[in-house]
Amino acid sequence: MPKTALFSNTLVIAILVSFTGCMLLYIALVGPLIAALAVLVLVLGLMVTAERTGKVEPVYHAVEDHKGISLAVIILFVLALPFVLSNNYLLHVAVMGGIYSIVTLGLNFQVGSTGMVNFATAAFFGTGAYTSALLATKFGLSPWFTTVAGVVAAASLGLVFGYPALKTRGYYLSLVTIALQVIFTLMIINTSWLGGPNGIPGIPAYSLGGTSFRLPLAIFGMELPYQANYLYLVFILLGLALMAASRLHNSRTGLAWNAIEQDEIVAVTQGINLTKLKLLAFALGAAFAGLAGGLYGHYTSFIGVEDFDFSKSLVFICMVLLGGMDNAIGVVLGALLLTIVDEKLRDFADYRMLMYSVILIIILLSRPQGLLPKRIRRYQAAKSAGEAKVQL
Amino acid sequence: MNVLQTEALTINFGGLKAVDEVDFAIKDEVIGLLGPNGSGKTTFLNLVSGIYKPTSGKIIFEQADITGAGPNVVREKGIARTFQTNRLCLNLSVIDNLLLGLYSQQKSTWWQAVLQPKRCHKELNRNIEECLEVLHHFNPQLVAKAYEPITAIPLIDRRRIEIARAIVGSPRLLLLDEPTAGLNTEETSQIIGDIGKIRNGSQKVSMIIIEHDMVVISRICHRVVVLNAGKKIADDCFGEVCKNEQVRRAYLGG
Amino acid sequence: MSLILSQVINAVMLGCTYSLIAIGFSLFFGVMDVVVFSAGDVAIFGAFSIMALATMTGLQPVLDAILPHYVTVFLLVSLGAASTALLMLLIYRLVIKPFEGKSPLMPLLSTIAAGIALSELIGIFYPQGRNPQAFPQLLPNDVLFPGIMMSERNIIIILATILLVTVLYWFVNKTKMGLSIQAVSQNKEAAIMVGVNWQRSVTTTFLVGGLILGIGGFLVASYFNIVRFDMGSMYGLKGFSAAVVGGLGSIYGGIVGGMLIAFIEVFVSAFIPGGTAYASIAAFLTVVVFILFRPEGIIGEKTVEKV
Repeated sequence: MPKTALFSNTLVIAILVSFTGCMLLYIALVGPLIAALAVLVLVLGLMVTAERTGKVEPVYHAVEDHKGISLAVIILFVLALPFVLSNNYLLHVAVMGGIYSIVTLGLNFQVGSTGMVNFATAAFFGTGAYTSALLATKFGLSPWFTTVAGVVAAASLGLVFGYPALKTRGYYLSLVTIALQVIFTLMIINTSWLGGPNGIPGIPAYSLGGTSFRLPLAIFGMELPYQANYLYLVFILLGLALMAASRLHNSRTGLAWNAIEQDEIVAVTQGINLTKLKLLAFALGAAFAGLAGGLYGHYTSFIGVEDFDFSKSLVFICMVLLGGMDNAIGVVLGALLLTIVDEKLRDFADYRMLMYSVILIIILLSRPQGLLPKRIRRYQAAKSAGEAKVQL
Repeated sequence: MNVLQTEALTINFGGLKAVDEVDFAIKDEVIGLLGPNGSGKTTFLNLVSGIYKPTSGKIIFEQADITGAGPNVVREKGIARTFQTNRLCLNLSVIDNLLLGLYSQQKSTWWQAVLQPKRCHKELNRNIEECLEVLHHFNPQLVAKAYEPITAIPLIDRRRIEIARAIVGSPRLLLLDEPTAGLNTEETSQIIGDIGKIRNGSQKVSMIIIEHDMVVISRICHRVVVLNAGKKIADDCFGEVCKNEQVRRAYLGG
Repeated sequence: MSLILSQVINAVMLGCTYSLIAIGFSLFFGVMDVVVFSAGDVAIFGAFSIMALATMTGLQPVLDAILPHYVTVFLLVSLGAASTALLMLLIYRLVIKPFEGKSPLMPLLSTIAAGIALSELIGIFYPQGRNPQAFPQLLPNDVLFPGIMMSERNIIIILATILLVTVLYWFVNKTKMGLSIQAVSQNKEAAIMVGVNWQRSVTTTFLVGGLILGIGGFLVASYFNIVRFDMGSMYGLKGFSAAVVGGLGSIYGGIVGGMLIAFIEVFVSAFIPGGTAYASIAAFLTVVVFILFRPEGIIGEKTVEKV
């Protein structure tokens, strides 16, 4: 077997896949609504074809074998984006896509891995946003610090909301989360020091070394719009979040979550502490959402309760469903695509929620496993038993 | 020294005593648990493995009182089990199911997984080796199928995988609930052989086996305990139990 | 004293409207083990269709000319209820039936989506759909007992609910179809084995449920005098809370739960300063507490899982 030929083949595939993925997202971003929808359909078509010809796993392996190169391609794209986009608005969409991706990675722990469908994600997102915004505006603390505080606050709320998960299952749990989400929104509306229906304006931006993130980024003699600062920040954090999520998935924690989803009795009789793991899924997922919330507040400088209500939670669920449950790359893809489609739908503002609901129904009817379905864990095994090695 | 003993173990389901004042003891041996349908055998296993909490009575494992402990604590202490309905995680791979068997022995935490991946991978690699070795003992052909989902595996191998999952973590006591149900004669022989291999292996594993197949019982059990309507009615070697009048009446009625 | 009494009447009326939605939820859950989240939106659709019939077609003045007013109202409501019955059947065929036998989360999500789609369609296509609409005063509103502010409308709402529940009770317990539906709710396989036509029972349940929802929507709109295209989600959530609190799957439970939720809301609103805001919160906290500590509801029976 000519090893070198095989090696360069998979390298080409890896580069091709990462490059194509980025290009498709770029086209969806800069094109009209039709282009975005076409990309959606194209990705679906590619996946279905790959599944029919048994090429899905080989492609995944190719990318994983050349993780470094694939990552380099993606990083280059992200770095280049502000230089290439002529339109600040599109840059803004990219930032929002990144922020929502962090949320969906967290939601994925609950929905995708552990099978707990949580409709209160917007409440976690909101807790991070409000905590960070309030501490920064009312007490003048540094946005970096307040964002971390937001993460802690959101994680704590995650523990509280996760408690029902210990006592209920299946859709009873989902119903409790719906009720809790609605309570959250109502409490915000009715509490004036939380901004009430008017929200919180004037949230300060991050700053590094004295330079505010809301100032244009001067680099290589060019001036990039300020969104670029946030783009880089958000995508660095997204990269870290993705790494954390994927490591968790491949660890005994991820396996335990999957076991809980498949059969709780099996899980518990193998020594899995249901309480600990369910609360962990909630707390970690909420922490991710809280981080995204903090970023959101300091990015847009204004937050209002309408950003953190039940329909937002539903959007997050759609993103996970569309992208692929328990597939970290999948949910990021779902978040990015749906954010792009959503922004394109702003022109049809009146039809926005209608389109969302129709998309959700279509996904459920035709491809509930999402664009990138759940995969079987691969621990790279060598030929004989006893030489198995885990893929780093 | 008793590995496990129960004292007047009772569970009362709203008036129905599914297990009624059962005294039970097991040393380093294999005990068959017999009785007509509904006599409380599976309930007894559920009590010992912590899935049900007893209404009264005690469960003592390796001289420690584990009465009322939850299933995950019981597993950590060293009692593993299989299920009548062959509970495996169908959408996970064979190797993932086996790794679950080692969960209670693993030490890595979730934050170590995120921040110290290399260390976790070392542990995971060792675990995978162990699992594949055990799998190899049961059926070498399964090793090649380690990454297939359980849905692609036939029933007899699923039973093997469930037993393998139970012993890969070196439990001190193994509870088997009808391991040969649904298998033909040939397959049943194979399972008997597999159980024999476990007993002859390096670890000491006591076993309680619920079975309806008397051939299996007669071949591998040192002793037999018979339940009827929740109560223990016999506790002796298989030959003696067969002659027991009460047992015959329980099975044949009248 | 009279203040308390008038609040009690308020609560009873509100409870009636919640009960009808709760009964709808229980019917669907009982027969198919599925929570149909679009029930609230279907009820509001009923209100809109009755409003459309009354104000946009020339129907009402024509009927009023030849029939007593209450017959006109009865006819209009019946037409509206018929439309919601058919709508419910459509929802069943489109987004519930395809998921039969699969995870119950899928119809939960799909019915949430269907509810949203429905309310959005109303908002988009009904004239001035996005604005709150004054609901036509089809029920006479003369105050009969000035001391406690009890009007004809209150009485009609309460009586209508009682009548509807009685008819439903007769249907479910005294007719063959009703008994079939009960059989299917309790044990699908056993029911099929004794010859019950499962599909027909399910279809009938959705039609009947849709009828009830339509009437419930009409009563809600009459009570508030106003309809909004997005009222359905809140109303549906409250109705669902009522069903769970009372006991999901039980008709009596729907009534008990509906009254309890309504009383909590009305009394928090009336007697706690600044309470109107917290009325809904109190209602939802109640359902959270029930799901956590008594998921079978006030009336319901516990089920034990076999290992």
